[in-house]
Amino acid sequence: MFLDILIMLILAYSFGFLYYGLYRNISARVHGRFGPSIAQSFYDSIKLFTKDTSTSFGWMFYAGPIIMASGALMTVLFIPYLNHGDSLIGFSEYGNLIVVLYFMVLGPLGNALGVGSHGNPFGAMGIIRGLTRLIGLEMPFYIAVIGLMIASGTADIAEIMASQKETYNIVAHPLLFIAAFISFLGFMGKSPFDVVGAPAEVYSGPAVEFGGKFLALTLSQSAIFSFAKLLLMVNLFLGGADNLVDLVVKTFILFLAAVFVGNVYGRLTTSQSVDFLFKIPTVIAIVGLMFV
Amino acid sequence: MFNFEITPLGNMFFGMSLLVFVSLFFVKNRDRDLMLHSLLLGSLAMIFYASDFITLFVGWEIMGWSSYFIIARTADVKTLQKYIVFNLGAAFALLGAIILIYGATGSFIYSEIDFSVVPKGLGIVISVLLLVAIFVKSGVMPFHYWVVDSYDKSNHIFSAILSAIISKVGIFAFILIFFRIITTEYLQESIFDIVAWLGVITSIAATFKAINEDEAKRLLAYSSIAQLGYIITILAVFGSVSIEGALYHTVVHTFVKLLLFINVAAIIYVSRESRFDRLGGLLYKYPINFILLVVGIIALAGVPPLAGFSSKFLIYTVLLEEKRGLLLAAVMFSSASAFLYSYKLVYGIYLGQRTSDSVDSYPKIPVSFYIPQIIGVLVLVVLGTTPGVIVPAFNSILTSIGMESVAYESIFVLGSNFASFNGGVIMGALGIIFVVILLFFVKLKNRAVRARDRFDISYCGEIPKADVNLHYGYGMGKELSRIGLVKLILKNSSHTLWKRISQIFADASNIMQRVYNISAQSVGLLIFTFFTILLFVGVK
Amino acid sequence: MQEGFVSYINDQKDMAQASLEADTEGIKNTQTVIQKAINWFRARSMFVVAYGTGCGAIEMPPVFTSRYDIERLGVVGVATPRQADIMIVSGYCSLKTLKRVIRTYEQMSEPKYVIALGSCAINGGMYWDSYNTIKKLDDYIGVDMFVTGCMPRPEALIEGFVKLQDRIKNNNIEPGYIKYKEDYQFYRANQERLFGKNIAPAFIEDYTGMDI
Repeated sequence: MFLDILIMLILAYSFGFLYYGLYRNISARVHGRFGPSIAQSFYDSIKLFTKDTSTSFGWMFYAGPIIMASGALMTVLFIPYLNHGDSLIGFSEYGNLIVVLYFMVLGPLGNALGVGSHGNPFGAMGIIRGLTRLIGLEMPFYIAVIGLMIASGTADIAEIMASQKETYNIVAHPLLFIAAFISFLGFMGKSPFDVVGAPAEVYSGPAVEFGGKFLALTLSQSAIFSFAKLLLMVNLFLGGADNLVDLVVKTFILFLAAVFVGNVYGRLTTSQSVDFLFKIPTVIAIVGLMFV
Repeated sequence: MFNFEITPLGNMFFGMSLLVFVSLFFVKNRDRDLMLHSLLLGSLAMIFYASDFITLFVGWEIMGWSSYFIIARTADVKTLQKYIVFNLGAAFALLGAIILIYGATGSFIYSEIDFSVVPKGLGIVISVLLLVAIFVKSGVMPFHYWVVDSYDKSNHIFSAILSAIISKVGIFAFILIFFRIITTEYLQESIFDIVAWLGVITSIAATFKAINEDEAKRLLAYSSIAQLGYIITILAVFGSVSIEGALYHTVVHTFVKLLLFINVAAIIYVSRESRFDRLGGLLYKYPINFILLVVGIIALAGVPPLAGFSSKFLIYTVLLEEKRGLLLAAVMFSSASAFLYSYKLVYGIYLGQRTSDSVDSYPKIPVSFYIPQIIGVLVLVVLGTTPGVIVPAFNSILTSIGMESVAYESIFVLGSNFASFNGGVIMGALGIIFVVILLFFVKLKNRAVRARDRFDISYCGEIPKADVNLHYGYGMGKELSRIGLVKLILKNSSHTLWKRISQIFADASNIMQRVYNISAQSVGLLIFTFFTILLFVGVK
Repeated sequence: MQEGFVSYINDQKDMAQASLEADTEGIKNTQTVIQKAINWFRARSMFVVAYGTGCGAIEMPPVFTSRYDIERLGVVGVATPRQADIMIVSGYCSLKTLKRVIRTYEQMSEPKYVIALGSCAINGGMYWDSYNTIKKLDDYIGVDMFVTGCMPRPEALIEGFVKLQDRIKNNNIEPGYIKYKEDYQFYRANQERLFGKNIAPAFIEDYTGMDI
């Protein structure tokens, strides 16, 4: 049990950072650059963890990133990694898809509290942008997930994975997949929905006062969290993975799709992105829900 | 004359009311009126333990009037007018329904009423009248018009009572009437689809109104409307699990709102401010109160591991089981948007920068303010860790009103046949992970230097002056109005509707007045006309 | 480094000499394996807050573009000083700008390094007799690397980064921020000579603050 959890977390951490490194590399190639090394994100993370000092604003500033990291870790631990079998399942037998969906927002809430406590208005602005965008992102994603839960007749992730033996949900419910994928782009912080941390506009937004180990923890949790989202999408729409190789291949394909879409779009403002998300993906998802 | 019976349902509601009243008894309050409060508690006992409609109605009326006099101590005329018009209207609707029920079935006593003899059309009229009464008490749109002002203008103790207890009377009446007296089979496919959608539209609209609100108590009032919207929605779906979910959410909402209202009341008590643009930065001044509020908003937003998640989970599983996808999507949308106002509440008061120079001279919060809050927190944490612990109690309620009981596994597990989760594991795992990360984080060989003061922020190389507004409490949520859907919600309010209705009434009364003001001749003519009509009717 | 007048080329000679002397000094080179590893990571990952004070700001963006692509060395731009390891002060500093430069520098977390870009930041350059600009940035904050030129080409800036990476990796020359901390009275006096008491509260107070 303990070892299982440890392996899950290590896998999530390494794949999260590896994918992030790949993302930077691929983006660089798209720009016609050489790009950083694939392990660059690891270097950044270790460097930030080993900085000598960092500025703190009191205990709530400490608690914020820790709550956020706990939320990300819990999300990963409640999603089974593999299709069948008793290993790499974490706590998933004690929870279900609804628990996972709600653990996904524990992190943002903790982050919001931590960011609010330092009194920098740019941080609060970023948080509000994030929470507003979250409303837009959750709408199509939730409808898609509801559709899947109704179609499979269960909220248990393992059972939803098992129910895709013959046809993957991406084939059975393509409209739901499209809606969820557009949301997923935003959840991954990819363009065009990446206005939250705009560096020049709101001074990095939520991360404005995070330096040193605080930034390190924030980055690490976001790597783990993005792997969790990839995993969730694979489990829900691509039938889960039979073994680790399968897992890597499927998450990587999904990740590549997100990267390529993200690289060709500019950045939408908050209200534009929420408006877009309310109009197009939500309608697609509702139409998809009709066919369930 | 008055008949009473002790039922598990009444026990649950009255037990909650008693707990809330007792915990609020100690709280410092300038406008306390013990006589009216005990009258109110007595009337609640009358409502919850009544066994016939007359007792219910009398209790309902006493409740309405005693609340009126409590609100009247602090509120202005406009608020009171709204309160009295709506609550009297509700009472008349209830009375009308009771009389119609008596006319059709010949009894006031719950156990003797056999509703299956009532014709379908009359049944729907009765249901609509009863629903109006319930909607007014619970503040379902468009009958929520009185709620926000009354919550805002009454004293801080009574706001908590209004939100925690009085709004639940509507839920109690709903369960009593539509599950016990007018049985489910009778009305299954009629107006309740509309009721379900009304509930969820209420919650969505109220959520965005709450986000746009600048005053702590008004924000909480809108949030209360939104949360009660869910309960109405889930009740209108019918079924054992839906009652379980509704009761669960009732319990959670009672204690969340008790906690939040008293928390805000404590801040208003020490600072005499309730607007977000005049509060802010109180985190390190009142850290305990801050932690209590955070517990409250985590439960309000329905994030695990606290009890808010348990009730939301039940609501979602019910809707999933019934395959009400769109309804569920709407509920989830409202629930997701609730984060924004939850965050606005905590940011506006405790986070951000100070906006007042006199913060240092604010007094300490009296200990009595912590009693209701700690009770609330205990309930939320216990129900979060052991979500199944009150399911047996719900089962006894369900069997007493003649419904099937719901699945019960152990105190740690909550769920239906559709899905379940283990609250103990969630709480335990989250706690362990939190502590592990905390230890790792503190042990890192990295010195965290405390920022010099509250202006030591990265502000593009500047040191902000004290007169620069750094608190984002006021504008927060305003930018949402740029989004089309939200703009639509914010622009419209039920004010226009009620304005028009009151205009119609004013015109009608003008005409009536003209009738009374004119000479004796025309009165004679009126009497003549009346008798002529009577004659014709009689001949026929 | 001693006088703050050392150009980029002189710096190179200095470094070679310093690495020779390092063994005899015996202070800097007694690193443990872990310290070496940490230094390697620090050198490999640099977050830069690029402070465009003067005309040199124009030369910084090309460094991040496809043509020069500094990201392959692990150098990334960030917006806030809290996240940054390196500050580039590009060109002349007027008094008004210098105040912000000092503030930004003090808000960075350690270890932190400063690259002074262009002649103006070294000796005043063409502004050497201006009433409103400073001549020697090294008098006010601890500068680690000077890149000469008016303006220096992006290649020069990249070479500056590479040299700084070497220096961090080998840890053989005392970084500017340690000098700044040790000789704080000197820097503070210089700052107060320009601004009087009208600057941020003393930096040294940071180190008496609460430690969590």
